[in-house]
Amino acid sequence: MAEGAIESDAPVVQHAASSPPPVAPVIHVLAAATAIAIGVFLYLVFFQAPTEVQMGISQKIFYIHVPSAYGMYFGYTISAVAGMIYLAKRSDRADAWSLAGAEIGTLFVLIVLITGPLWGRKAWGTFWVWDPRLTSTLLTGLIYVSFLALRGFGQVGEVEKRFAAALAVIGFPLLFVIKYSVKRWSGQHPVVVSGGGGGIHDDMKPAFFTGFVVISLLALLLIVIRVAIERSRQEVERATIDAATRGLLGGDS
Amino acid sequence: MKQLIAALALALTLAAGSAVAQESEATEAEASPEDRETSFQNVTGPQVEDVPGGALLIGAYGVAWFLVVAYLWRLAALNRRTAAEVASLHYAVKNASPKDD
Repeated sequence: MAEGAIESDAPVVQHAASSPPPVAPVIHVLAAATAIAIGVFLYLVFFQAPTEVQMGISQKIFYIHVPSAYGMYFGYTISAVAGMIYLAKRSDRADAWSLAGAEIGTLFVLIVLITGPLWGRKAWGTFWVWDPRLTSTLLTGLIYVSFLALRGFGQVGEVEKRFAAALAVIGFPLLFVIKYSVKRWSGQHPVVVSGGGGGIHDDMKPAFFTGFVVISLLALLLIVIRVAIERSRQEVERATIDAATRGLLGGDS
Repeated sequence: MKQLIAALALALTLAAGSAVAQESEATEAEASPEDRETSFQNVTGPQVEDVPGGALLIGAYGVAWFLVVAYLWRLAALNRRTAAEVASLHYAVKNASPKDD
């Protein structure tokens, strides 16, 4: 995966290898830390955290749902900031970070939009309501899905990258709409932790905060891996063009 | 004597009436209309029924980890494809004779 398998100005592809490129040590460290944190998290959720008096056992969905929403904010913020940098500087590195952020943010928004309705089925008696927070989360997710669709169709050129970066930037203010929709428009979504809620019992806090650690590590790990792969792909593209220009590929240059 | 018997009868009647009234209220509270079906109506709001929380919990965590693993699988496939492109490019360049040089 990783760092510059191919030098774009090399006459011959010096570093190309038939085996997969080496994985950076930072990824190994992050992966090990994430695996340990996931184990601790699952133990705390299923064996240590108490059952909630009103919701029963299904309240434990909360420990994955809320941190996943944080993972969504994390991914989409990286995508938007990197998108802004890309629009300003046309940096391939920024493009890779923007793409990675959008993918990881969308992964977590999917988790949020699946675990939330499963909780809602128990709490509200229905999977979905057009609550302001649910609706704004869905809309934000759709904007970044359109980003990924734009990047996923065939050959991606400069124009597609610019449009995608603009979408990432446009989607960013919606994150604040999600955050403050509960205060501004009320709705049915609970406000347990933020927005003047009553908070959670002390015995629930270890599982809850470990969830944030797990999602932080996982999001960071996935983004680092995705950026490394995308950077390699960019290098391969440049090297292919370079080799074709030098007439090394047997086709017209 | 008659007055004493009349007063005693009145007191007993009042006490018995009060006891019967309390029992009647308790019976009404225990067997309120909410406790038994008296009619069937259309659902007008969220449907309330007993939902198995354990299945929802397992479903939520199962789906979440499935999505993470599926994404890791996709990253691995993308990495393999990139490595294959590098190998292919390496092979093509190694076996090519430059046109211009």
